[in-house]
Amino acid sequence: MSRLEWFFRKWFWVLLAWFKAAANKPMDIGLPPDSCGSGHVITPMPLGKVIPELPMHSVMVCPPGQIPADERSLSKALFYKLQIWLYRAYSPMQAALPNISGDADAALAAAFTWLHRRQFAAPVLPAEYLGSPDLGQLAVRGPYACYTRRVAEGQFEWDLRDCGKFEHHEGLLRLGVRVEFTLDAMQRCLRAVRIDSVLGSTTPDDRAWALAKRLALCSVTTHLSLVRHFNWVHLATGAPVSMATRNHLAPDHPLIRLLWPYVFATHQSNDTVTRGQMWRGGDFETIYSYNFDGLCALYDATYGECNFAINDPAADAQARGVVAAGFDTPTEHNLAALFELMLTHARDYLALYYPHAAREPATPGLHNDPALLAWLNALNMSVPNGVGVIAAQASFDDLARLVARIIYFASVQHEIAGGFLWNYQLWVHRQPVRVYASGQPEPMDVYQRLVNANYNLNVKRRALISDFTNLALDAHGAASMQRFCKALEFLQLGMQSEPWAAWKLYPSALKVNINA
Amino acid sequence: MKASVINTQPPEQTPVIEQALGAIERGDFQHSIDLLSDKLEPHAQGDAQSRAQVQALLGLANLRLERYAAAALAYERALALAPLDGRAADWRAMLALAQANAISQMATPLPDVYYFDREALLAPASLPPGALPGVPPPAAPLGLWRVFLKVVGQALGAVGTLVFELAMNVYGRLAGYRDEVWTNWYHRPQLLALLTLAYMREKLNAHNLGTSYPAGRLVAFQAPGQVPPPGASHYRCADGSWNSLTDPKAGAAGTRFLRNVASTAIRPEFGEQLLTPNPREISLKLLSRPDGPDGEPVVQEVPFLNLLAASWIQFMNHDWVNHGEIVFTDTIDVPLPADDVARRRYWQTKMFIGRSQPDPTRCNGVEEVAYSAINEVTHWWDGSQIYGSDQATQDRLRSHVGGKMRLGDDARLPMDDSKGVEDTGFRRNWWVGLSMLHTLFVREHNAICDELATAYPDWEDARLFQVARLINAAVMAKIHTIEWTPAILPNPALDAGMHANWYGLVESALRKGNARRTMSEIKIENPELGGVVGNPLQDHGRRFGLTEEFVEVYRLHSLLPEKLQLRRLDDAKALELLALRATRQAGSVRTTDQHAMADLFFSFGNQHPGKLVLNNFPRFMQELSIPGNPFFDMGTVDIVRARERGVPRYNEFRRQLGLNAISRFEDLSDDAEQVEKLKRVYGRNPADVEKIDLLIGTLSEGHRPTFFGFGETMFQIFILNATRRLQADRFYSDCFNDEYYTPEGLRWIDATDFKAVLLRHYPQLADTGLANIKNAFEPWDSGPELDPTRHPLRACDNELAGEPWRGQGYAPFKRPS
Repeated sequence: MSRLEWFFRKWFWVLLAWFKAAANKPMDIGLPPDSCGSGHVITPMPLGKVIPELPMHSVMVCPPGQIPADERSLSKALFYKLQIWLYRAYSPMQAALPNISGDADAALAAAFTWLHRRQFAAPVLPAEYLGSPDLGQLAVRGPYACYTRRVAEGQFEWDLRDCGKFEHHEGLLRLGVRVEFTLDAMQRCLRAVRIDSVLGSTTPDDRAWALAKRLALCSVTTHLSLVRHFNWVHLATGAPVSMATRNHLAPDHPLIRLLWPYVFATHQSNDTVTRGQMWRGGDFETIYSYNFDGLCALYDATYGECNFAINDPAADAQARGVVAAGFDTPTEHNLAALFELMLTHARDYLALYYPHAAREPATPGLHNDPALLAWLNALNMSVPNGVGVIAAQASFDDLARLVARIIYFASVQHEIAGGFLWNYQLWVHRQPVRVYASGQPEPMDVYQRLVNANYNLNVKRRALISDFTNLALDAHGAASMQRFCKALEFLQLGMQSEPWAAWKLYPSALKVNINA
Repeated sequence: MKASVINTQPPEQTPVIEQALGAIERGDFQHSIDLLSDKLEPHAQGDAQSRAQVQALLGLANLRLERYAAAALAYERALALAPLDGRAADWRAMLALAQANAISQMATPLPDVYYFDREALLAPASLPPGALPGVPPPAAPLGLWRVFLKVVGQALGAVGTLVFELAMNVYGRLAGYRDEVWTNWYHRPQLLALLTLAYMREKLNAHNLGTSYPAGRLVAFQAPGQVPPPGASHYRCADGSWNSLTDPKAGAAGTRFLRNVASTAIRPEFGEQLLTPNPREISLKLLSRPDGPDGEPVVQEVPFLNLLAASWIQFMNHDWVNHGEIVFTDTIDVPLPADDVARRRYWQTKMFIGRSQPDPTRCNGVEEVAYSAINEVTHWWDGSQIYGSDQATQDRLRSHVGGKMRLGDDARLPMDDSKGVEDTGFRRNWWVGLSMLHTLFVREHNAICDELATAYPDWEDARLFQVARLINAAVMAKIHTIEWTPAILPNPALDAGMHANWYGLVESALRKGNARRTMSEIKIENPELGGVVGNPLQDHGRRFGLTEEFVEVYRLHSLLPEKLQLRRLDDAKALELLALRATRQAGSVRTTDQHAMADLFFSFGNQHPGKLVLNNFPRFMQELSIPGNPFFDMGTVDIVRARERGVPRYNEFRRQLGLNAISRFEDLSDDAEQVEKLKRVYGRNPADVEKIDLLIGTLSEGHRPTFFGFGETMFQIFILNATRRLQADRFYSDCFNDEYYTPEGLRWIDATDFKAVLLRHYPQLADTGLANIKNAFEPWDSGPELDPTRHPLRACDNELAGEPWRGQGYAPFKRPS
C-alpha cells in the first residue's frame, strides 16, 4: 500500500518539478524603472519580522510589500503559495519508505525519471567520484575547491567544524569536520591525511576513514548549498547589492545600466525561494541534515560571516594561500579566467563614463559622482563586512574590480553553488546529503526531493552570454557590452577545444542573475 | 660469469693493455682493473688516446663485474680524454648502458636468486592456519522469481546450445576456415566469421589441450582424495591451489606448464641444432631496428595503440607465467658473429645465456613428454602479479586493516629498501611501466575494499581482502578480454567475439557499454549466447594450466620503444626523452620520484608501441644487462628459449594448431626484401622454411586478419586460451555470482573499464585525451574529431553509432544546460 502511495506521491511532485522547469522562461530584462535612485525604494527588514514563521533576525530581506513592481510576478507568487500549501496538504515526504538502491545508477534512474530527462540530461559522474572520493583532488577541482585553505607550510585544510554547531535530524551523524591535507609536491597534488569529526580523528589507515570522508563531503556540500548559495549569494549579497543599486542609482546612471541584468528580479526570487525552501517542511529541512531550528540557527549565525572578497577568485585564492603552493589548481585557473573577462569588461565599460578616473586608475577620483558614492556607502552598510571599497578613497580600479565582483557573484558564484552541483550532489552514494548513524543510505523520499530540487535549480534562465545592449546608454556602452559577449564566447570556444569535464565551469553555463 | 677468447687484436697495444685484455679474456676482471689502475697513477705516462683506452678498458672490466657506476665513470673519462677517438662511439654506447645500469642498480638480483625445490613442489596442497577467512554463511535461497529466471536461462541455453553447435559445426565443416595457406574467417560477414572462430576454437579444444604430466596423475603428483581447507571453496588461495576442488594443485604456482602440441612434437633442441641458425645472427639481421638519419634506431609504431598496451601485456604475463630464475652455472653459449659489434664492446666472442631451470619434479620412467618446466606463478587469472603467488608474499603485501594492500603515504607501492625497488607480488623484469600498473591495481584493490566495507561494515579484514581480490582480478580479466585484445586486434568480428566471451552474444546485442551486465537477469546457460563468465565451468576434460606454447607467443618485446617520451598533463609535447632501460629496477623508483604518476600515465597514453613485425625489436634489449650478466640479447634469448623448451619451429607449430604449413618463404610475405632477408638467414631451399623460428615466422606474417596487430599463428593460441582462462576457472564460471563476489562486486566489475580505473585513481586525467576515447589503450587524442586510422575499433562500436569519430569528451557539449 505504501509503495502505491509513494508511486502517486512521487509522480505528483515529479510532475510539479517538471512543470516548473517546463513553464519557466528566461525573463526579459527591460530598462530600470524611474523609481530607481530615489534613495528609499527598499528598506531591508529582518527576515523574522517579514516572515514570522522563519525566526531569523540577522538575515535582512526586502519586505514583500516593497518588492518592486517590475519584479513582481503574480503567477510565480501564486504558484509558490500553492507549493507551500501542498507541503502540508500532500507532502513530498513519506514516512517509512525504503532506502534508495545501493546501485547509484539504479537509484538515479528511479528518481530521475523519463519526464525529468525531457527537460534536462542526467548528471555525469565526475571522475573524482568513480571510487571512494579523492578529497585531495576535490580540494583543487570542482565546486569544493573554494574551501581549501593553507594553514602551514605544506599543510592545507577544509575547516567546516562550525557546521556541527546546529541541531540536526535524529539518527544522523553530526556534521562539522576539519579535513587536513598535505602537499605531495612530486605529484603536484594534495592528499587528505586526517579528518577530525564526530568520529574522532581519523587517518586513511583507519576503518572509519571512508565514513569520515562521507561526513566531510556531506558537510561541504551542505555548507555550499545552504550557506554559500542561499545565505551568502542570495540573501547576504544579492539582496543588498540589488537594494543599493535600486536605491541609489538613477535609471540613466551608467552604472545601473551595466549592473541591471545582474541584480534584476532578485527580491521577488529571494522571497519565493525563501518561502519555498526555508519553510518548515521545505526543501532545505527535508533534504539536508539540519532540522528546522538548526537551519534557522545556521542562517542566523552564518549571515554575518559572508565575505564579499570571495567573489574575486585570484584574491580569494591568494588569501587562502593556494596560489603557487606547489600543486595544480585547475579550478582556480578556470575561475580566474572567467573573472579576468569580467574585470576587463568592467574597466572597458566604466572607462567610457569615467574617462578622467580611468586615466589615473589607481588614484581616488570618483568624488564627482555622489550617486556612486552613496551606492558604495550603502553597499558597505548592507553587505555583511562590506564590499572592501571605501567610497571616499575609491579609485577607478577599485570600482572596476567591485563591478567585476558583482558580475562574478551573480553569475559564477551563484552557478558554482547552484546548477554546477548537478553533476556532484546527486551521487549520494559518494557524497551524501545526510549521513545516517546506522550507515543506511538516504530514504527514497529524501533522494527524490534532492533530485527535484536540483532539477529546479536548472530552470531556464537568461544566459550571461546574452545581448543586453538594450540597456546601454549609448552606442559606446552597447559596444562594450558586445565586446564582453564576444570575449565570453571566445573563452567558451577555447574551452570547447578541449574535452569536457564536470569540474570546469563554462561561460555558456553561466546565468546573468540569481533569480529563479 | 664465463669469459671467452677473442680472435681480433686491437691495434698498437701497450704491454699493460695487452695484459689487461688478456685478463678480461680469462674473465679475471679484477686483475685487469689492478693492472690498469697502475697506469692511472699520477706518474703514469702516455698520450691522451692511450690514457683514454686505459679508461675504456677499466670501464669494460668494471662493467663485466657489474660495477656500473665505476664503469660509467671510466667511460666518461675515456670520452673526455679522446672524444674523437675511433672507438668513441662504442664508448658512448657503453657509457649509456653503464649509466642506465647504475641508475637501475642492475647488479642487484630481483628477487633474490632462488631455485625450485622438489619437495616443496610435490608437497600436499596445504594452507597455513588463518590464511583464508572461514566459509561465509550460506546464501539465502533464490526467490521464486529468480528461480524462474534461472530456469528460463537454462531452457534458452539448452535450445541455444543445440542451435549454435549445429550451425557452428555444419558451417565450419562445409565452409572450412583455411584457404591455401591462411585462415579466412575475417573475409566473411560478421556472424559467419564468429561461427568460424567458434569452430576453430572447438577444434583447438578437441586437439590441442595437451598435458605434461603423465596420464592418470594429478597435477604435481598430488595424492587423490585431499580435503579442501575451510574457505578454499569461496576464496582464491595465495598459491592458486584448490581452484579445482578435486585436483588441488591444478593451476597452482610451482606446477608444470602444459602443452598445446602433441607430445611427439615436443623436441627440445640441443647442441648444434639449438644454435642453428645462429640465434644472435637472427636477432641482428631479422630483429634489429634500422638506424635513422640521426643514427638512432627507427621504431615502426602501431598508430592505433598507446604504450599502456605494451606494459599491460607484460603486467598480465606476470600474472600468468614465468619460468623463474635462469641457471647461471649452465649456459647456452651463443657464438657472436664476426661482425658483431658486441665483440669489440664487450671483448667477448660468445654470449652466455643461462639455461631454463630444469623441472625438479620429473620422475624417471613415468614421464611421457620430453621436456617440462615449472611455472613460478599461479596459472590462474587471479592477479598474482600484485598479490604474490605464495602466502608469505601475500601476507607481506597486505596491510591487514580493512582488507587493504600496503601503499606508501604518497599512494605509491611500498618500498623494499633492501632492493631499492617497490615491493609487489612479482618483480622480475621490473620497469616503470609495470610500476605504474601495479600501483594502479593495488589502489584499485583498496578502492574495492572501501566499497565493500561501506556495504558490509561488519566484515573482517581477511574477508574484505579476499572478496576484493576476486573482484580486482575479474576487473583485470575483463579489461584484457574486452578492451586490450580488441585494441590490439581491432577487427569487428574479434571485438564481437571477445564481448561474447564475457557477456554473451545476446547481452552484447541487447545492451550497450556499461549498461551490460555479466550476470544479466536471464543468464543464458550457453557460453556463446550467455557468455563464458558466470556460466558453468568447462575444462574440456583437461585440467587447466598455461602452456609453453602460450609463453612463446607472448614474446612481444617489439612493442617496446627505445625511449619514453615524458609529458606533463598541461603540455602534450614531449618534454623529456628517457631511455627505457634507465627505468628498470631501481630506475623505476627514480622515475616515479621525479615524475608525477598522472604525468606518466599521460605520457604512456600519448606514445605508441612498436609494431610486431621483423626488424622492430628494441635495440636496447639487444644489448641488455640483467643481474648476473652484463651482456644479454633478449632477441637471441627469445629465439633460444623456444628451441630449448621444445616448442616446435614455426611451420610445425602451424601444423600442430590446425593451420596450413607454408611451403616457401614467399608464402609468408609479399615483401620481397623481407623474404630475401629470411632466405639469407635460413637458406634458399624451400625445405628450409621448416627451420624458421616461431617468433620470426609470426613477426614475418604479412597476411594478417584485418587490422590485426599480430598474425594468425599467434592468434590460434589466443583463441584457445582467451576462453579457457575464464571457462576453466571456477571463480569465473560456477562461482561468478553474488554469493562469492557480492552484488556490489558484480556491479563494480560491470561498471569498470580501464578508463574508469585510471580516472578513479587519477581524476586529473579526465582533463586529457583519455576523456575523449572509450578504449584507454587507444591513443589519447584530444581533438574533437578522431582519426579513423588511429581509432579503428570505434567503427564497429554500436554505442557510438552515428558519430564514431566524434571524441567522447565533446559529446557533453551538446547536453542541454
